Amino acid sequence: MLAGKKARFETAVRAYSADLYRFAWWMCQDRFVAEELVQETFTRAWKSWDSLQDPARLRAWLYSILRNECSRAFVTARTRQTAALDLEQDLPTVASIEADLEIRQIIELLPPEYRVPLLLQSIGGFSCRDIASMLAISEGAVMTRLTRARRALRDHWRVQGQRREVG
Amino acid sequence: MICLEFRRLKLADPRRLGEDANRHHAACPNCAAFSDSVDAAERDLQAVLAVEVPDGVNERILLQPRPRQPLLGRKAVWAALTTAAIMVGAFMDFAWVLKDVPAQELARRVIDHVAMEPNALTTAGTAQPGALAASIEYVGGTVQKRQARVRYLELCPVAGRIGWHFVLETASGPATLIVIPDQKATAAVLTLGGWKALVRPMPHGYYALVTPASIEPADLERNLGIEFPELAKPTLTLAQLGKSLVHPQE
Repeated sequence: MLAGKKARFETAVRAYSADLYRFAWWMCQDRFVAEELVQETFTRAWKSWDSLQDPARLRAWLYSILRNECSRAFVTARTRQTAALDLEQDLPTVASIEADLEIRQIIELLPPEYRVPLLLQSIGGFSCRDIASMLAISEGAVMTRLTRARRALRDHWRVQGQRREVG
Repeated sequence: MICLEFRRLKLADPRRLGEDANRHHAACPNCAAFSDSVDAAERDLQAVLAVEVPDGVNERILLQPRPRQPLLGRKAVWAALTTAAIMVGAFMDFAWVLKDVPAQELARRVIDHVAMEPNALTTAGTAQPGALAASIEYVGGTVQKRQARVRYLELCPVAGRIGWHFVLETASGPATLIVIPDQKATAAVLTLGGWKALVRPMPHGYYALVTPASIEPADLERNLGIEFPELAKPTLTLAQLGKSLVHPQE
């Protein structure tokens, strides 16, 4: 029994650790902290392995544990805002884009309300419905946040494209 | 499907379009061009998100010692702990049964951390206004003077815990403040290798000030106006503490 559990655990580590690390890195932008978060994620997963009833939910379960670890590590501490937050105000503005920020900085500037769904979709490969379930929000809210996040990125690319044309 | 709806769906999930959206894509040249631009942007995004993963991550995860399976069932373990806690709790504050980190050892480790990250003292990064005060408040203190100049802020693992690493501009040069939540500590002062460290336990963690040996950390602490309350006694009664142990929170 234990040997089987170890084998399944190792398979999960090899299959998912890289993308979990990338998700963690984009939440904290520190490779040491990101690795610590992934380590802790798998430690917690091992402890609760037998509670996972549906193996098909393994990937989503690991990401949920990781998000909780990110919260514990306060990488999203700055986002403990009220539900009434006007999210539009927190998107990178045109002025900041015109300051020639790299796309990486744009992503880093995205509030977690936008960044988390974007990372779950782009790194984790989850659908809007999956993300809604993981974040306990409506699918419509997920789609709105993803749309706004990509619009912020598109604005950046459009400005960069105009600069290249002028240059 | 109208164009507005198509574009919304495309931006929300570029790689999963339904049949209606695919039909609109085939029928609308403008939206097809829009879709192409979104796909190109998505490829750029994927390339940026694919940060390099350090070598050996899998091996380090797999080599971590795994918690052993308990001999007793979970409820039996908590019931046994509750009984023991109630029996000894009449004679001591239960919270302080938890093991303290040796004071001088902790001070040494924060000095080591600062000494091992010299780049932090010379790097100017970004820190949100109020981040220092927020971190002190998080561990149970308050900051009366909020004009400390923070030139660097990063999350760091220190002495086995993750916390905030601030570099502050002072009149005497850069100084370091490390704030670690949820770690018990004992007050300590240590001079080591050209550095001085002050460790201050707080209700929900500790902070440490590390300065060059020519500066007194306690002076910096006064200048920052950090107020640290007398460490709070547990507010739960023993009976309530027992109940909270029987139903532990994850």
